Amino acid sequence: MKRLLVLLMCFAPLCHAAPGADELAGLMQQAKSTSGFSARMNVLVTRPDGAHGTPFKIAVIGRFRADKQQLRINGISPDSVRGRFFAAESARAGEIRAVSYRTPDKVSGVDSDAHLFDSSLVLWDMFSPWWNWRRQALLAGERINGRECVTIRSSTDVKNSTVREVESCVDVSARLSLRTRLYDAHHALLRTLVVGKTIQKADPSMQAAKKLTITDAEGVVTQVEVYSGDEQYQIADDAFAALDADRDQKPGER
Amino acid sequence: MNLFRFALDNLYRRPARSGLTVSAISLGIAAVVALTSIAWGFEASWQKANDARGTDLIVTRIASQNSMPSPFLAAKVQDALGRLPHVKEVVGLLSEMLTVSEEAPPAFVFGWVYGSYLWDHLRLIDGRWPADSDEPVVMVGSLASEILHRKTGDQVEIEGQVFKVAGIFESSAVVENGAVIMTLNRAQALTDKPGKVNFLNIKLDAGASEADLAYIKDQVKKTMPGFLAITSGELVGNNAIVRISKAMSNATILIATLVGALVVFNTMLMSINERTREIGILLALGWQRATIIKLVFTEAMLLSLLGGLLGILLGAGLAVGLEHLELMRGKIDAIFSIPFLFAVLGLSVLLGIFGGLYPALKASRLLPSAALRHE
Amino acid sequence: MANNPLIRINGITLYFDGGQTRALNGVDLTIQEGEFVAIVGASGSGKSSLLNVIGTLDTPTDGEIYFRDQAYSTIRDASLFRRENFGFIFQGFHLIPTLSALDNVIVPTIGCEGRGYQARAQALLSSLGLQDRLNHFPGKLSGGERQRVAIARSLINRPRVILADEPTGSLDSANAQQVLDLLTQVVREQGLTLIMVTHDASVSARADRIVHMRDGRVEQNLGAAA
Repeated sequence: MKRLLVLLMCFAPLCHAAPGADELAGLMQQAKSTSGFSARMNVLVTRPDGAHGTPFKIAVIGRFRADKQQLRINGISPDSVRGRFFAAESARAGEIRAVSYRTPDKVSGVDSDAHLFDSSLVLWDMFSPWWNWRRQALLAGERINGRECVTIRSSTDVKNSTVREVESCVDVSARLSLRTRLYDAHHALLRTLVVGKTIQKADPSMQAAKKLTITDAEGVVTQVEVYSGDEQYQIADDAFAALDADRDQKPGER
Repeated sequence: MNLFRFALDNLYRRPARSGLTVSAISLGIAAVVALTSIAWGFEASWQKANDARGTDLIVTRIASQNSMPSPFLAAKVQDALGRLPHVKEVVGLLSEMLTVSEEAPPAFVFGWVYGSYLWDHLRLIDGRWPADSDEPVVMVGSLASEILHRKTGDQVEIEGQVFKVAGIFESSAVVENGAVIMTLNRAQALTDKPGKVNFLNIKLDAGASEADLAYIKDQVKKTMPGFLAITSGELVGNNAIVRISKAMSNATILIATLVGALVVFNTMLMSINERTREIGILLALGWQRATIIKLVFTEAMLLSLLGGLLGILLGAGLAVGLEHLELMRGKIDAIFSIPFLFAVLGLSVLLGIFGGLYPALKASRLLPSAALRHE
Repeated sequence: MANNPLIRINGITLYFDGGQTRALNGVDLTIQEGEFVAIVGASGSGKSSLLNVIGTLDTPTDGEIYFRDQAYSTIRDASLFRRENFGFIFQGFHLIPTLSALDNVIVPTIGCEGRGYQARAQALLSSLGLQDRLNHFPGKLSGGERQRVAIARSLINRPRVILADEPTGSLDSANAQQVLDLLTQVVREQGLTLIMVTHDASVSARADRIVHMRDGRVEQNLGAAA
């Protein structure tokens, strides 16, 4: 009897340590929060026939607060992307509103599901809104690139969402999804995002992706490599002014 | 005729095996020499860069495992640092690894405060220095100029912005020769990090002692949470790349020692097994057991020392060759110090000792009559 | 000579292979200083084993041997004792093929204190008629010449006793006679004791005494001193 008790006591912390699906989704949602970050990345697109696009560089800056999440993407080089901007925000309701512009006074709305710069980069994915969905379920554990992760399935019934189901394999301690699969309403695979290399964040227990590969349903492969980053980026006051300009121009449109 | 000549003769009797053993050892030693000289050179080059700049202390954010500490707002700590005793100048530095030319690997781009002491140690070989803190020009290191194929008056595109090359400079540190330098303001604007730096370099006045240095370090630790004041040597020692390259060279030393000792061991064991009868005869002829041990040891030493000498030449050649490889240009500055080369020779001697010990003892313990009966 | 015993062997037994094989079975023998003793017997009779035991290459399982008055069991440094007192000659010469005749003679002195070995080796080789062969390698020497080099080698450390195991066994009769002449001459000149294992009757005939061995025992002990 005593032995059984000891045994139970040994297992108790283990049970406690493994978070449930909702708890895990909450942790992931929390991990996104930042008052400002900036990441510069190289992007290389490979078509299904093996042809490479011209590599390009973009900067992603953003802030993620509980009530409002904002992202801006600046094209750096070459000329085809230079001076092109995207800005997007997602309020508590989960809807994502996005605009594109070359100068802040000529703003046009874009679909948050649109592919950026002919790559598989999608604004909607960058917000990872699925961590806020109500239905979260834990599936089996897996190993990806030699690292343990727990698969969690997030799903939603929201009609105007292209992505209805997301399966993420999360390295719980690093708060990082090593592989993310996005499905539509018919459970057709839309995109797979796989993390290659990672880097430590300022909080040394957490990690961010340094290399990421996105494969979409058509077989287009987009490789992203972050070469410079700032976790305490100071967002300029007018960084998201374009979104306000858009709202002023076309009130009511998403 | 003496023991040394006899040992040499014994090795000469089996030229193929002795040759193979020496080759194996020399390859191991070459790997040790090449990797270690590169790792040390790497470290020394960074240190040289900091020493040449005349920097006494570097203040940085307590680093994660990134090779470059993440940027921070200079204003936060700069004033407080300037008020510490003996501090003469506090200068911000921003450093990034960026693509400067599509044909060349990424290079270091440094942003230095215009007019600060950091620039003083550079020697202008062509062109001119930036005219003010905001002029959109870069200075290109002599080596970077070769690698990037850029000279004074040419243009470079960095992060989508075009800069004119104002001049070419030379520094005593290879890291700087391979770099592109612009004013800090320009670098901050370029990388969208207004007001930020990776490092604050502190120059102390001539009256500062070691104790003052320690006091400043202590003050930073106490009054500036999250920051660290270190000497350039400590910074370089903490650098992940330096640490990795040193770990790699240490691992190579370990593996080379093990493999080298095993090779010597195997060769000497084979050799004494073949010579069992001869050892019996030597014992019958009145050889002391100690002389047998000395003989086997001398042979093992000769093999490992010869392997060591060849390995040093090969390794040095390898490191120098890598230095001149296009991909590695400006990143390697191998260092061969005399003590290091002696240490490597010492390592070879160690191989001989480890590899020769058991075979020597085994040979000396042979029963002369049994050895004589051995076919 | 008759009353000057150099080596006294008292009831020695020798087992090999961890007691499996008995090579010597209670041998008693006394050898006088300056004597030439031939040990004869069939193959496996224990001749070579007896030679090895006398030369301290093997330690008897039982019994005792005295050199003058020193018991072998009290010798602390066998190799030093061997070097000071014994010179070995083998049937197969056992010269080192990559060393010259001169160097082969010097090999036993490696690791010893002292100088002048080079000159002594030259003198020894010359006295054995090899003054023109000093720098020849064993491969360029005839069988007889090689054994003469081996004789010179056995003498380099000024031993008291020469232990020869079938020294003419690999030679034709002409060469065998010449080697034997030289060996006995040197031994007589220097007043050394010669103990020789042989199966050649013409060789043993020259000995002062012939010891017949059979099954590890001394069967017959014939000769002037017997």
